[in-house]
Amino acid sequence: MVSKEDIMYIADIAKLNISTDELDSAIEKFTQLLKFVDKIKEVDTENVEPTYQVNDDTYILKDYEGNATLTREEVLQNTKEQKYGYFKIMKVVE
Amino acid sequence: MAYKTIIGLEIHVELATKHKIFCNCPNEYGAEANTLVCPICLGLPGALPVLDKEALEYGIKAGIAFNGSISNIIKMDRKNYFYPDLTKGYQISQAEIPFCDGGYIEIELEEGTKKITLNRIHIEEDTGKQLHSEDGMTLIDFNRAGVPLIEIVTNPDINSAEEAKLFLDKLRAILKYIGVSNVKMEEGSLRCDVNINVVNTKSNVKSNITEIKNLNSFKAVVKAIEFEEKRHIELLEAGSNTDRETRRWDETKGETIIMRKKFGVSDYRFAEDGDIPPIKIAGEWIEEIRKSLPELPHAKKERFIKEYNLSDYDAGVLTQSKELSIFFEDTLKYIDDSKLVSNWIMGDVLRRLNDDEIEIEESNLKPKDLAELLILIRDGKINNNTGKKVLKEMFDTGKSPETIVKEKGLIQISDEGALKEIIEKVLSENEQSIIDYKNGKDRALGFLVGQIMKASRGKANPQLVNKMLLEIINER
Repeated sequence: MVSKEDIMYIADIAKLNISTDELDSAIEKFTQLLKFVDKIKEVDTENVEPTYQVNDDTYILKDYEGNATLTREEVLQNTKEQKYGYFKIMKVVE
Repeated sequence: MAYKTIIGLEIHVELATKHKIFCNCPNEYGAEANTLVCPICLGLPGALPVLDKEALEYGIKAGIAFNGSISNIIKMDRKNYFYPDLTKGYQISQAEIPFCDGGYIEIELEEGTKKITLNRIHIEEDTGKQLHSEDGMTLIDFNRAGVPLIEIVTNPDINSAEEAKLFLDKLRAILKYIGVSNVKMEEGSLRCDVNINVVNTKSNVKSNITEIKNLNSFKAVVKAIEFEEKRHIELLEAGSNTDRETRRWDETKGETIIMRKKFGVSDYRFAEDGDIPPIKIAGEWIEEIRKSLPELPHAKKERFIKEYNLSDYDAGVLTQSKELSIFFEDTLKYIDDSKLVSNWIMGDVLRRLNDDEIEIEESNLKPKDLAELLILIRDGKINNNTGKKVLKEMFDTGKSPETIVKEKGLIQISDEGALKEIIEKVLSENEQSIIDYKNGKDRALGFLVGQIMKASRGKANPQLVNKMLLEIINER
């Protein structure tokens, strides 16, 4: 069983708003999910190579050339506040 | 009361590639804010990061230079956390499989060579840069977002601030040798975090590990380690313990200050990045990179000892910086006397560089000029002391030694007639010293030599003065 505190903590670091009404159902869903993961863990993968991608060998590295930067106006066009060409936000203390 | 300090370092190194790691924005320091960004490094929806070949190549170079084993698969993961300098809500990094596993760097201690082993090196993207203003606001510049970084993680093999300093010096020298980074702490291209705790060697009681961030110079690393060592020991002595936390070094206060409780590894919810499929690396490519590496400090030191017949210590100092080792060998192209050149570089040249707090490449001194100066001395055209003065002038003005010697009329007086005249004059003014010398006071001779050198304004050939002075006195 996942605890209320676990859910609140995960919601906090994932920046999710979970209201008190939703808590019980979230606990239920999380618990189900973990059970499902436990089930998958039962599969013996001892001698199986991990598969990350099905279309193997297709990825290539890029030899970048030139540049494709945006103009500062484009960069800042969607921000609410800016100053001296910087994005301006309220100070976030870690 | 006996404690052992246990230190592990995490060093972030910005790679000096032409482009950022996942896009073709230029990788440059010091540009105007938010002018080197694009949809990819801004993390705009729909942008697709693609790994830059040069970034990976530079990383692999470092991995090989630090004796690590290079993985044949490159897999990128997402490190999830929310912070304003991170555009996507996650950093593209490596968790499960770093591109380089293990490795080591050797440092020279008085008691011998010590191997500091590395845990791993992984590659990732740098984040944006924040400027905190007085009025509680933060300004963000994303030019740095997406600059390629490698993170070098050591094992806890370091046992003192001194060892940490030696390790960082060596690490920086090697990175500079292979040319993958500018390694300037003041520009943030080299950043170091310290993990530290102490253990009581009798009771085996350990303090909890603390992590120190915000270290802006090697000096700060040393001071922060010394501060934490003391803090940990004092808490254990008082029957208490440290908290497992992240602290920040405050340079003005000279102390570490708590930032936050440590975020655990699982809190980052690492998951592979679906945008960047794992990449298989060809062994031949790694071999090619290995072959492209220049001679590393350790190998160069061994070669200097053998080839130039230098002492272990001298060879070590001369190969500490790539530029200094090149300067030494370039000088030897003009004068074939390794001992003489090494003595002058190790002595007056390095002293001057230390006084000015600059590197050889930033000074006015040129290898050809130093060689010319040493030839003037060797051929007896100027004496050793005059040589030192000429060198000072060379550093000050960048003029060639020949020019300085000519301008200042410093050519050594080796003409016996001219010297005889000066000696006779000095002797006639110092009759008492002659008597003293004849009464067995050897010091009187030194005084006379000094007076003669002074009368010649330092230009007299000292060997000749000594020889002639004795002859003339004994004749009297």
